[in-house]
Amino acid sequence: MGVPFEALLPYGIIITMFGVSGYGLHYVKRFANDGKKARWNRDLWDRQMMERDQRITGSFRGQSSNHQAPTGFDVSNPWKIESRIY
Amino acid sequence: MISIISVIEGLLLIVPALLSVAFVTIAERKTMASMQRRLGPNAVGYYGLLQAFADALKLLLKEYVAPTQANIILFFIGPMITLIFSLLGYLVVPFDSGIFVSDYSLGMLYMLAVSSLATYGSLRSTAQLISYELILSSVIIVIILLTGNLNIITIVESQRIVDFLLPLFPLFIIFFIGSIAETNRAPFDLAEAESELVSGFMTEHSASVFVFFFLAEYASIILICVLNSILFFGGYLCIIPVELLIDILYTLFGINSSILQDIFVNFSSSPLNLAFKTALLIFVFI
Repeated sequence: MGVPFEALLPYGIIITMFGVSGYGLHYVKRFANDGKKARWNRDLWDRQMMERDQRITGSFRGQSSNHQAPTGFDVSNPWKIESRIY
Repeated sequence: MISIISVIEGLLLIVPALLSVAFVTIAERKTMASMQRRLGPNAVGYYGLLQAFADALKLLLKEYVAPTQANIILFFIGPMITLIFSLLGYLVVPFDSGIFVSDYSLGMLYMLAVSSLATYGSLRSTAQLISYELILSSVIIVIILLTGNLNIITIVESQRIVDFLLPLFPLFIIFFIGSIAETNRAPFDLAEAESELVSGFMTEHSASVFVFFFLAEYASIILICVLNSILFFGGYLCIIPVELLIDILYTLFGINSSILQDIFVNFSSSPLNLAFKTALLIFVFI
């Protein structure tokens, strides 16, 4: 007899649900990453570079080819404990 | 802004996960019915698709009963912990190389820790866990040794050339049997042996607390199927390696490979690949 099609309908719905999660997250991630693909498997170095990018461009995913750092870059170092003195 | 995005991400993961858990119960009942030449649930909704919601509604409206000698707090918090931990596992599931809620660098360890806590610790299931969870984690260690990384996306990406199913086929069999035991399915349902224990640990639970246990059980089935497809079937990658397909089509039919690249680039990695593999494994599970 085999498995009738109506037994396979729930599997179709499960696949759809995965699709909803996957494509929904795809759009949210793109939105959060300035329209770029999200970075994965970031290590300490990547995170530091992203923090530097944020200090230069204002966004974790932003990149600049400008050979001069913006004003205030030299004093905007991200000290987490000490209060900043500008 | 970041916190709103995190909330949306969480909802996008949890709500479809819970809905698919509901439909796994229907899938199980329908598939088992077809194997036993019955109709299965077919009254509520089209082809009985809304049966799970009717059942949940019935259970939520029922009166809950707690044993007089039971520690009430633990009695009610136990099923909640089970459900929360089996849903926490979804956090590190990658749907594509840049699509995840959390890209935890120790993702595999996290998954192991969460999936162990999601099981309930009565004596019978503890005996079972000692026997099977050890095997499960040993197989995962082999895969970690092969990929050299605990990050789940890296494990998937290292299967671009060939899925781990091929070189590690015996290990897949072991892992699959172990995961059936881990989720307390049919031949390994010591904790819930219906012929001897009525309903095992669920005997005293009723109403919404029972719903939590029920959801947790099916959520962990989906999770372990996702884990199977990530570790051995290449997760979100295409079932047939796209590069291989392009090479074959180019050699046999002489089709320009750059055109093929453009066509197949969308199929090479997609959330739907993971969904298909998981649905297939759930079917095998049942």
